[in-house]
Amino acid sequence: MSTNIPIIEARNVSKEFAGIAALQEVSLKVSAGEVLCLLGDNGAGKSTLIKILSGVHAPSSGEILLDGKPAAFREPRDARNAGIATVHQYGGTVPLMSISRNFFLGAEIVKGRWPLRRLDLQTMNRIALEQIQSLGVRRVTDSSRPVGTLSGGQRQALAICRATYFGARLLILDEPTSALGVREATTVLKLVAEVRSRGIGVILITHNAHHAMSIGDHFVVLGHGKVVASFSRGEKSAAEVVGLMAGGVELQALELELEQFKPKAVS
Amino acid sequence: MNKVTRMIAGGILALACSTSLFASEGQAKDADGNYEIIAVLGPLGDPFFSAMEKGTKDAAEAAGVKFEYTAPNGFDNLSQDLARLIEVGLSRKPDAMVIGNFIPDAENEGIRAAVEAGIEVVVINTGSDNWKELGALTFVGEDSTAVGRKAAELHLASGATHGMCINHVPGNPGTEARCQGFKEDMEAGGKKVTVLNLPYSSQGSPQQIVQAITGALTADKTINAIYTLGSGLAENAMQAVADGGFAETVKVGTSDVSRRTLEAVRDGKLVFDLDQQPYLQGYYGVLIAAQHLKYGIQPVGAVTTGPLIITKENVDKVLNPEVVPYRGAM
Amino acid sequence: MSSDITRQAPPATDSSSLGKFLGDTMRRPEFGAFIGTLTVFVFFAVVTSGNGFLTWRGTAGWLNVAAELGIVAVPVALLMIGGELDLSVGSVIGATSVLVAVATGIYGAPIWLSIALALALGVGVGLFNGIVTVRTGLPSFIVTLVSMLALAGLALGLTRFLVGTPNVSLSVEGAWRFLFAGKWGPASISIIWWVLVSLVAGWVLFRTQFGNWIQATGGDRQSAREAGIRTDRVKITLFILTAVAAVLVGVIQTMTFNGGEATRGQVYVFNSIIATVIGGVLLQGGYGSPIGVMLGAMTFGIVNVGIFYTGWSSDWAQLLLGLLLLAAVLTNNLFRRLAMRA
Repeated sequence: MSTNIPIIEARNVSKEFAGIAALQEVSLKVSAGEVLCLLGDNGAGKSTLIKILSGVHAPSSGEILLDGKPAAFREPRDARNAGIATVHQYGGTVPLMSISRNFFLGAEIVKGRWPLRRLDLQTMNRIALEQIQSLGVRRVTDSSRPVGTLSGGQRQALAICRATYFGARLLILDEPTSALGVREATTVLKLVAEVRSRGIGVILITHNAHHAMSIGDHFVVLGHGKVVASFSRGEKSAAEVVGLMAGGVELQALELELEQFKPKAVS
Repeated sequence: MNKVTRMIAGGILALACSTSLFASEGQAKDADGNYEIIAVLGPLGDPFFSAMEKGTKDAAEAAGVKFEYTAPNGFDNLSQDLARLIEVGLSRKPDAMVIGNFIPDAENEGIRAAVEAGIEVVVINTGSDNWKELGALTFVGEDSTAVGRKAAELHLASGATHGMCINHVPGNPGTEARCQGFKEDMEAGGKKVTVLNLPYSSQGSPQQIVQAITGALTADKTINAIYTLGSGLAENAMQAVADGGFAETVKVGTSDVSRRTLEAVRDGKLVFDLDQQPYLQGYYGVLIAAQHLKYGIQPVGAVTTGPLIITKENVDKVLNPEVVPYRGAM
Repeated sequence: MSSDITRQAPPATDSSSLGKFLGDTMRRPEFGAFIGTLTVFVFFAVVTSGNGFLTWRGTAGWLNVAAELGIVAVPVALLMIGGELDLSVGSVIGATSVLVAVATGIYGAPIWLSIALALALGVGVGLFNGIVTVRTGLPSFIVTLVSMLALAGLALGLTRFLVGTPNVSLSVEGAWRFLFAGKWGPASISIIWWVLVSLVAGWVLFRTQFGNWIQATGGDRQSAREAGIRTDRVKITLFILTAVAAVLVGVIQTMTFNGGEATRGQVYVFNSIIATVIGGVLLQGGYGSPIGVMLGAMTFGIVNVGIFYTGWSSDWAQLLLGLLLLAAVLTNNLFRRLAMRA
């Protein structure tokens, strides 16, 4: 499944903001056709880590390896050019613009010569529709509709589809399922499986241990800016994973506390 | 001064004009024992007041007094701006103030307070009807209603049957009074009068003003005389008349001058131009205040600077390029 | 999801081509603006019947007003779609008019040089507005307010310092005059400039890559940046275009009205925003159409000029404009919601 050289690897990456450590000595790697689930509570450092991987921030120390070679991203564009695509919760789409315009945003298909160089809207509409439908989203039938008319899951699908079409080798999906209902979340997870089967590496950030367990090949749990655990599929149960997530300890404490309340509430 | 320093000085001057902040900085009375006079007059963006300012400055220099011209930046918040500027002037305790009483409701109180504080006040330009009451030394300017009447008289003499007064600052007592005077005397002569108020949304957009006037002339073809209350408006009215094909039927006369209105009088496109001589108002205002402070002499009663009637007969004299700046006309 | 299914257009709509055509037309961003223009035109055509509003002269009159406003309002709309405001257009118009009038009228510079200087001024103001806005992250409302005040003061102070009056005459003849102030009867050449600016802007916004970037920058700046769009450059470019359009209007006015005034033009700040909003541009950015704004400028022209053909007190023009603005915003909201639902 995985080749010897990971697409991306973080080695002992630390990041400080105004003297406060957001990440400490974090290491992880993702290979082609592999889903790495990044787990952790709010404030565990997940966002900081993906911002470093996608070129928004530079690490304070440690290094990022791209195909085994050190890489320095100065801006998100560099990461994008290296085939690393980040998809945020709302899919990074512009609601009032059409599906195809969003699909080709920043990489529009043009025809004609400057100053008459213009968008090839027909081709854009056709390709966008083909691509979205090929990923199994068949309810979208007109790619000139505004993205605002799509559901949350469909927007995620659009963004994932766009990233793979433009040659992403590694997808960073930031909480793609957190705002979705059960059925929509399932659609997105299926999409992730489809993308993996095409040999694309995926970093899936989530709160939801069950979503993670259903799709992940490897797991990294962050807590307070450090790697709390790093393991492969089948090595731990969902319950253990929940316990490992930074909230786990607190959750246990909470459960205990709640149990104390129970009898009182009954009486 | 070389060009660069002139530019920089211009920039600083501009900033001072645009904020009025500098006006509020208190200054002690002049160490040399010179008299200090502060003026509260109209915005310098208006060429009319530019000429007036030149008059005040020239008089201050001639009389050897310390002088400062303060004014609002524009016409859009006139009441508050004027009241505030008078207050600021008062608090600096000058020996005299030269004030245009453009909006009596906003300014009367400040002027009275100045008089009570022992500051000599000369009212200029507007305020002919109540300067005595307020305790001012004198008034230099014209009676706005009388100017409107004069415009009516001149239009009637050239055969007008339906006059239109264009008020570009509706609500301003000075422009209202001119239109009122015009209306009364036209009607007294048995003729019709329309007052055209230009909305705020057309201020500073000559195209809109031209089209508004064209519209009014097209809508009522009996209008055959226009009286405008400013030189810019006169230019717009002449353009509307020329473009709309009314040159044969509609005659335009105006208050206040610019080089182009004077040239229009010369070329017969403007039947009259009523000059209230803003330079003179500024000059006499400051001079009278200074002479009163220094020697205790003063004119008795109001000093009338207008309307000086400019028609084709006498226009050549005032169009002399050397005197043009003194009319606020470039 | 069930809500997902209901949100899709029923297949029946697609099979009826007339229905689809009507639906698509109504979903266009300029549809609301078109209804507005038509309504006020019919209104004034009826109430001014026989007063000459419908003559060539009357028509040219409101077109002239719409043209001068539209030349500024269309780029202002692009900027607004890109998510920013520009309050300095009025000062640029005034400064241009005195710059050209002083340079050519007083110092005798050739007119092309004066226009070039004015263009340089426009580019400079646009760069200032753009760079300061994107670098400091301050709202463009504040940044352009600063340049509006500073430039107005500078123009006034400098003109008075150099010439002694804020009002400078200039009369230009020949080809330059034709280009900027040419006339066919009552209709001025600015109408052609306006139509040209609107069509080019419409083409750029909807048919070019840069247009796509403008919509994305104003629609969701974060997403646009993630897609690799240099939103800062997009904004700076739009600020420059807006200021240059203001220079164009300044030059047109200087030649049409034979001179410059430092204080001219401030109403364009408000009026251009009125035209864009009537034209269906979303104040918070991301959505709108230059053709809609062209219609918005027409509506403004019809109301502002039409009122004088009625013979009513012009005080009502303000009231009418206010009501119209409210109606326009409400209709535009309605049509936008329809678009999002379909």
